[in-house]
Amino acid sequence: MSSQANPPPKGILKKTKSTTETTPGESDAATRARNLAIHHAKIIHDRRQISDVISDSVIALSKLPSESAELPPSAASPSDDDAVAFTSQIRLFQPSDYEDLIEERNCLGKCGYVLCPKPRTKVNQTGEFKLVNFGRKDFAIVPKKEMERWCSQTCARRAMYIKVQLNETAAWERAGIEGIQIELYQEPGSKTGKKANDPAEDLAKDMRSLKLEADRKAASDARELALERGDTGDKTKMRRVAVKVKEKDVSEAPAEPSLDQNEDSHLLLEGYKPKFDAKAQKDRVG
Amino acid sequence: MADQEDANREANERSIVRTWRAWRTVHEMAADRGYELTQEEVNLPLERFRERYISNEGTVNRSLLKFSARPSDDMMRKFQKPATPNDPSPGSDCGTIWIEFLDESTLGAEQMRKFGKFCAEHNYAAGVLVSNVAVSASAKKEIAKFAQWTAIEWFLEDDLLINITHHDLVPRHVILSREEKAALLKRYRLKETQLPRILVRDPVAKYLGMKRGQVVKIIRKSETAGRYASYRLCV
Repeated sequence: MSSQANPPPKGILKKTKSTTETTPGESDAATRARNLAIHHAKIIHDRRQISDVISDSVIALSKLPSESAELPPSAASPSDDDAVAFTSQIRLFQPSDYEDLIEERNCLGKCGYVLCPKPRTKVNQTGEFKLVNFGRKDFAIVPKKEMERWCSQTCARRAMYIKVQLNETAAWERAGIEGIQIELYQEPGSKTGKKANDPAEDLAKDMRSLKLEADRKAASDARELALERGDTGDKTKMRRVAVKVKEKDVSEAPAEPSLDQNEDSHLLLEGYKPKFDAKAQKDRVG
Repeated sequence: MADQEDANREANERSIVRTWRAWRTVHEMAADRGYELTQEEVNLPLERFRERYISNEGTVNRSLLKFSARPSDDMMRKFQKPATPNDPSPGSDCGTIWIEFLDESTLGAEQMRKFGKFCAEHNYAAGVLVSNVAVSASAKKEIAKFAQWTAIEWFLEDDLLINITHHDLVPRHVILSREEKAALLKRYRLKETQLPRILVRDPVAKYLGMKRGQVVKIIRKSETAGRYASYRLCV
């Protein structure tokens, strides 16, 4: 009976923290996980959106050039609206998207070059390959499929001129960079062609592109460095480290380093000089 | 002049017969999948097809070649979604199917988008588009975008001229329901990945409209055992 009156035996274990104390930490972790999940979901959402934009532009560009009554457009001198629409929408494309666009246009029976109003050529023969320029120096054997993509060789050149300017990097990485501009092929003998021959203009253009290249390189370097440090792309949430330069106080003039007085100091092992004589040992064996 | 007319008529005739055969195969396909179709609809003779779908110029009026079919009760039961505590009587995976022959001479992303939108807006669980021209790469990408609302399938008319499942060398394929699949895996103590596989783009898998993760039972004739069943997981 007396045992009931005694206070309960004291535990020998360390007192654990009460549960109410741990919940803030847990909920903190939960919110952090939630924020991270939302952050990544937003990234995926943005990417999807950009790929939607690209497929919309494939459809829109496959219908170009638009019909205009007064001036029939040609591939060499497209209407300004079409050219602007083309260069602005093609900006986000990867080469593979551009291939899709060409295929889409061919599907509709058009020449693969976006600003060309002509239908694509149809090679009237069976067989996989076609001989081009037979009996001449630039003779070639070309797959029939490749030939049927364009209305003419010049259009093929114009289209390929666009393709080499496109970038393999993913569209969402390029979406924000305004510097990426796609240029149309300079038609030989056209006004713009003459302007390009002006050396000052050329130089200025080269300088611009050089500057652009350098900027892009610096930006990508900074991004990589940030990634290495574990920073997220989000600028607002970038970790800030308070950097303070603290001078070390100097009390005496610096002195030259000197060797110890003891000449055997290099033989000491943790302050003990072994008595083992390697030379004597060797002599005894010999 | 007369020669050319003859040639034209011959070409028309050929295209009519081809379209009729594809039309019949599509019906057989829908019936084999378990949709409700009458015997009359499935075995439409060429004469009746001519009466119904030939325009005045003597060509096939493709804009009329479209139909929808409801899944039979058996099919609904077979593809029942698994019951959860929150949702004790869930619906079925399958729903009404819409089958259409493409009326245009090109099949690009735009046509595919239009078809997908139509199927999604009319709440068709599946849509089958039959065309006589190949589809572009960007149109194929469109199919994936509608996967959330409706399962779009695309067939080439040339591939439907004969019903491949009626061929001697094609064994009988039966899709297993969820419970049957679970029972199979339990019986043989397998994981999904330990089953042999069949591709989604396999002709028979396409014919049956299989989805990734379904298991098909293939019943072959065997000289020694009479019948031999094997199972394949759709990947």
